[in-house]
Amino acid sequence: MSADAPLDAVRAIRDAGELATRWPEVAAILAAADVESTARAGALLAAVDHHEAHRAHPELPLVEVLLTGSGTVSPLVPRLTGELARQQIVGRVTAGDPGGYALALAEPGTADVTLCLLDASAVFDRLPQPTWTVDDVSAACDELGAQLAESARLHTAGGGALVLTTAPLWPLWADQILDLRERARLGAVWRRFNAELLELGTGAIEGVHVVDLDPIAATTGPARDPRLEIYAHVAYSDTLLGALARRVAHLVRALRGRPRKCLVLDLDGTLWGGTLAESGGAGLDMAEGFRGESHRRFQRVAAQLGSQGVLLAVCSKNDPAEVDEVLRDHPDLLVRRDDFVTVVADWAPKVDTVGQVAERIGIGSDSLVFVDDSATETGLVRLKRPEIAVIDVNAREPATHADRLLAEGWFDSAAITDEDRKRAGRYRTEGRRAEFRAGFSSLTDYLKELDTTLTLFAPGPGDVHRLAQLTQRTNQFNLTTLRMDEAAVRAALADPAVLVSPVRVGDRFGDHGVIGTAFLRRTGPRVEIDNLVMSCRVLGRGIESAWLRELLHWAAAHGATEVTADHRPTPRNGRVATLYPDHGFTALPDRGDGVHRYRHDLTTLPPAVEHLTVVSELPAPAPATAPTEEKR
Amino acid sequence: MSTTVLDTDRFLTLLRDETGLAVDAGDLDTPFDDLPGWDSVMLLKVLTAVEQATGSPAPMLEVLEARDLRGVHTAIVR
Repeated sequence: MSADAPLDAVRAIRDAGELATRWPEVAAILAAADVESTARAGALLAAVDHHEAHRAHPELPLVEVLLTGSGTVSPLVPRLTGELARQQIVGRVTAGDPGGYALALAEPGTADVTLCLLDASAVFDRLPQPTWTVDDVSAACDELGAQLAESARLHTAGGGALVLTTAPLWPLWADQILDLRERARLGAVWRRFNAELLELGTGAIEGVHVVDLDPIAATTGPARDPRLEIYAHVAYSDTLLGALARRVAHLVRALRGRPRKCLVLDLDGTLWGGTLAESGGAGLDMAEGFRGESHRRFQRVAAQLGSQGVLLAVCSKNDPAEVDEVLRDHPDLLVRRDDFVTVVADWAPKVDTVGQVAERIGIGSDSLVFVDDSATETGLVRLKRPEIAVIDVNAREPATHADRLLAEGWFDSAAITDEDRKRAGRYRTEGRRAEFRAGFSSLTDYLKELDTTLTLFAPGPGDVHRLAQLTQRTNQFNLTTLRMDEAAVRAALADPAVLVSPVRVGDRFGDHGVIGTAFLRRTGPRVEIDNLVMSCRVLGRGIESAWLRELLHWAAAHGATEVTADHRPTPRNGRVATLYPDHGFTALPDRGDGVHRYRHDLTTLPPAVEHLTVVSELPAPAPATAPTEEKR
Repeated sequence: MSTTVLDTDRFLTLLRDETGLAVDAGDLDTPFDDLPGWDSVMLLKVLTAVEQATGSPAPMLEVLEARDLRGVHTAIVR
């Protein structure tokens, strides 16, 4: 038997004939597998009926990939199949004819993704025989570059993605030019050609992505084997193809799979050198010396990821107060407390605490990437939480931390928008609220410290979109589920008998924005609440109580003698069934239309909510009977 | 690892690992044309793996000229 544990496990599933039905399990096994084991497992997976796998697990994307290129591309089939499985994608990878890229790209693509593996032969096959000059190369590069640009446009017209690779220049070619100035010129010509290819992937053509092979070739063993080149027309070595397949699988994940959003960092041995509990903050390495410089580099890379929308979090076995102090005050730390969306510091095993990061900021745990130097912690997380991506770092060689963090490309994204970058700020606020809540023994204390302000304001035209959205999207805290489009909201705003009363909420951590709205109608001495909706994200703070109290107060101040309100039960708004009775309303006789009707006589208003500050910008009472104009 | 003897058992294990094909001793003398799923690119992959396993270069050209797996094995261990 081989000593390859992941492969043995996958083989056992193959022998049981269950690869298709146990695809997610295979993905979990491959999570910790190196590229070679993944390729071998991929060879087994390539033989599986992919549609059967997709039927068994419709939650996994089924992605058709066509491989083409200037050489033989079939060695990529098992590698890419395995790497896609590792990303929880069912990949159906097929190889086109060797050297058949020109034809394959000349028509709109039919696969979800076409991967075109270029190599230098694409240019050198165009040169005159038997001898050539740098000018010949330059002309061939121009011709091929134009052809590829044209093909890229054509091929992606059908909506599929095209992934092109660049083509590195090997010494085999450069060294044939003996004039060193000409050899330099060949290098320049070649890089211009590759630069043009890369330009195609900068968004110039929708759906085109370009993978630069130079950095991959620079970090993987020999990038070519002349025997493979000649005997099989395989342009690249196995190690290069393995690294490429891993990268491309991340690219496909970015296009079709689940995005990874949050980088969860261990502290001791990972973010900094040393052990906080032993040496205290002053004894940690993160500035100078062998260890210090290593961790400094790692911190810079983490900060760099954070600046592009990756949410940074901490999961550490440490005293929370000590951690907090270092994160806030350590002079050398490059990613500080405010850069983290949340900090989990606890003595429990990480496998039990890492998930808290996701819970606190309200994302799925399958969005997490966890980095730790303890093989025990990472091993347990891999075993028990297979949905979490795990990166092992070696505290004995911290110089390799940054490379390990980046090696996989877990956060690679087809495009990052300003909205993505801003998202970090929102999650940070959410994480801080959750941490803050965890620090209070009683809910009342928490709410008091949260310092929430509720503002009832008079809406203007700029609020119409948001108010319509609230009536349409709110399901749980929606009393009558009266859905309104923008025109209906505008009509309500223009109706002098109607009071539209939206509310805005803020607290010490930030602004929640406009989170609810009420529609009230005045008929003689009666005020009718047509509808009341509130976003669920601010539930549990008594906001609805303070709001209702303010509305009743407003009605009384305007000379009303009663307020009536409806609750139309739906399968999803059960939580507001007792809202009106809880606030001093009495039930009116049922009219048999399924709507519960309530009345408040305005003699006793509900008590004020102590931990909330209420600001009312509702119009002051107007002279009796005159309709009120709600516009500011 | 320095030079290691690659007996047919280890050779077959390596083949299975690299190609995913379920080959056993009974397939050693089957002509490649009759070996289901076989292609010459697989052979090259096997060779690079053999080189890693034995620590010495494999005679790729001779191996490519072999007609069956036993021929490949003979070329490698010669």
